[in-house]
Amino acid sequence: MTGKLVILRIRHLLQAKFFLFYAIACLLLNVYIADITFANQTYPKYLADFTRDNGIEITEKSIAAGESLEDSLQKNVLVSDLYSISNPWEEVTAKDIYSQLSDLVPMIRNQKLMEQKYAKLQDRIDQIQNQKEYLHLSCGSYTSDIYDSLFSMLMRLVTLEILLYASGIAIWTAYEDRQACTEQSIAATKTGRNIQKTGYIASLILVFATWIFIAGGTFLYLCIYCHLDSFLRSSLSTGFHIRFSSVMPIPFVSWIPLTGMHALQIHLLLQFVLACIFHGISYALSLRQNSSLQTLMTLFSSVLLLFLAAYVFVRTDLFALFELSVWNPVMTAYLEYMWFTDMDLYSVIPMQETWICIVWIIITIVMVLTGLKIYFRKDLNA
Amino acid sequence: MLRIEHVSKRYGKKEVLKDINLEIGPGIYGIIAPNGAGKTTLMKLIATLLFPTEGSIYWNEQEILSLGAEYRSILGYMPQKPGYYRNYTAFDFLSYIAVLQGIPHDAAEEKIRTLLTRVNLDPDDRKKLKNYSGGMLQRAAIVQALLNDPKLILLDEPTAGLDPGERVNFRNMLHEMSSDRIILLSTHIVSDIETLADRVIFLKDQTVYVNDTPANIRSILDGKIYAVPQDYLLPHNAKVLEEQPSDNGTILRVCSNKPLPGCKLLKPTLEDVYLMIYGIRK
Repeated sequence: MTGKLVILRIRHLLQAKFFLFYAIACLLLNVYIADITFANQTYPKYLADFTRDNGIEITEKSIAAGESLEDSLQKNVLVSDLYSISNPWEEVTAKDIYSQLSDLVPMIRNQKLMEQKYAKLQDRIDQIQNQKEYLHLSCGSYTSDIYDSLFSMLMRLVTLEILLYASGIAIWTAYEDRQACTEQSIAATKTGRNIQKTGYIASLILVFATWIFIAGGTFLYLCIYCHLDSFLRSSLSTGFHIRFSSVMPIPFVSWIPLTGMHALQIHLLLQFVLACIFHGISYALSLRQNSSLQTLMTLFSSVLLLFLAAYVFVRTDLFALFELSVWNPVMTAYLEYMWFTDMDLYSVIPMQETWICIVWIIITIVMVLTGLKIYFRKDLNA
Repeated sequence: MLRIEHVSKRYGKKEVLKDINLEIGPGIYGIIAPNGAGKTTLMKLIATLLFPTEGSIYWNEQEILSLGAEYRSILGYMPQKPGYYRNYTAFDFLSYIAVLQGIPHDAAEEKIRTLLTRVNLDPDDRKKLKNYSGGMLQRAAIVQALLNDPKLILLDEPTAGLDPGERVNFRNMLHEMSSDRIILLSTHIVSDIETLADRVIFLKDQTVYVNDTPANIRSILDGKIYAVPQDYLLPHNAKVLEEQPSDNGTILRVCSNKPLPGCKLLKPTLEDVYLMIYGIRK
């Protein structure tokens, strides 16, 4: 019976056409941005063709192959890239990065945790060196730009879109029967207040479907039409990839071996986990509160407060409180461009964003379960 | 058998219902009270939409909240303001409610068709609900409350919006169903239950004021209701219940404990009792 109700509820929610329009508009926007950002760039395509024949690692053979190409503007860039490659880790260790950071950034108080973090990072740096990941061509001198466009702009946009959708559909589903004045007729049926449980499941399934549609569609467009093959196949920790953190330039390093494709995939996955968290929190709040406006205001003011708290704690050098203030899904989404890297000075444990999501998934489950329990004993007086 | 035992409902400091005690067997029960007197709250408490602050409600000696879905499967509830999904047809909406009631698909379809025919909505069953008139929506809501063939039917102001013909049809329908089930009908329109209800419950001061048969209730005012000309000098404690224009000027309907010589004695109605209990609101 629950399965049938969930299907009915999904069919019912699909009748709210604006959610459908929203999803289509998001995909079109993403495709448009991907198109103007990547599809018209000639160098990534040129490089994709080159690495398909000569591999992604810079070797003597690939340098010779590069030199034998027909003269063109792209060839000049490629040859320059092939010759200019260096090992950024030759003279830099994780300990060096840590000592420079701790000298430069007064807010780092929790030195032991940071020391541990950077000590762990050395294993990954050794791995990059041993496996010569730094010799991967990626997008050559364009690697940092492509990375920024992809993860700081496009993927963050996709995240924002799916988070807004998840919160919106959760609030819509939880309050729809109240708005339509059908809540009392429905709550007095045999199914009774279980309708919110089926509503939660149905809307979560729609979040998944919409995520597949928006994020999957954008991902497919990127893979098929944007000629990013060499970027997607290469390690992101190449010699071309220098990041400028808030204090100093450091070579790109991630906690796990990360090719462009891996990065894209795990970004998408974490994005979905965040969407589930936002959906669950919005639904749980809706079950407790009495109006959709109240829920929207609660969510909106919470987001503002979190940003405000983070800002105040940074400015006042209250590192422990600042660290606490970033342990939430909002700041995790905001800091998406730093996921799986050590680029942020704010994370004290490896892959902090993943741990934050795990903690918040548990919190969300508890919130939804208690929300449903509260709804079961709530006076339906509207 | 439905038993309401010492039920009270408070919102903060505001007491809406106070120590309600009722035993209700098969038949039609009319709950009468002015607007805001707690009729809807009582209906919602029985429908498990609200939870009593004190006391309990029992169905066949079992507490309704512990019965849960088992209780709601024998319950048919029509709220005061029945809602609907604007883009659904009546048939689709009722099919949705049938699924919520756990009625198998084939049985539900047959039941929906029978009931829609019974309330004369069958020609419009494929019309979207947003195109229905107020009366049509009201009839669709009545069908929704009867879909699961309930043993306990709660109808909160069900005749609001119905035209006189529909009202008669509705009363006949309730009368046919009342032999083996409990029908609780809340209204402030006394004529709706005058001829229909087996028992009438008046709520006053947040509690049950009268609970008796209509005949017994009317008998309270036997020999006290008179038709009086407008220029008649009324005794001090007489109460004018109604003014009716006639060929010989305005005739007053008066309730008086003392005999009024020369005036015609009338048969009391439930409306007279209502006006005596709650007074005339100006």
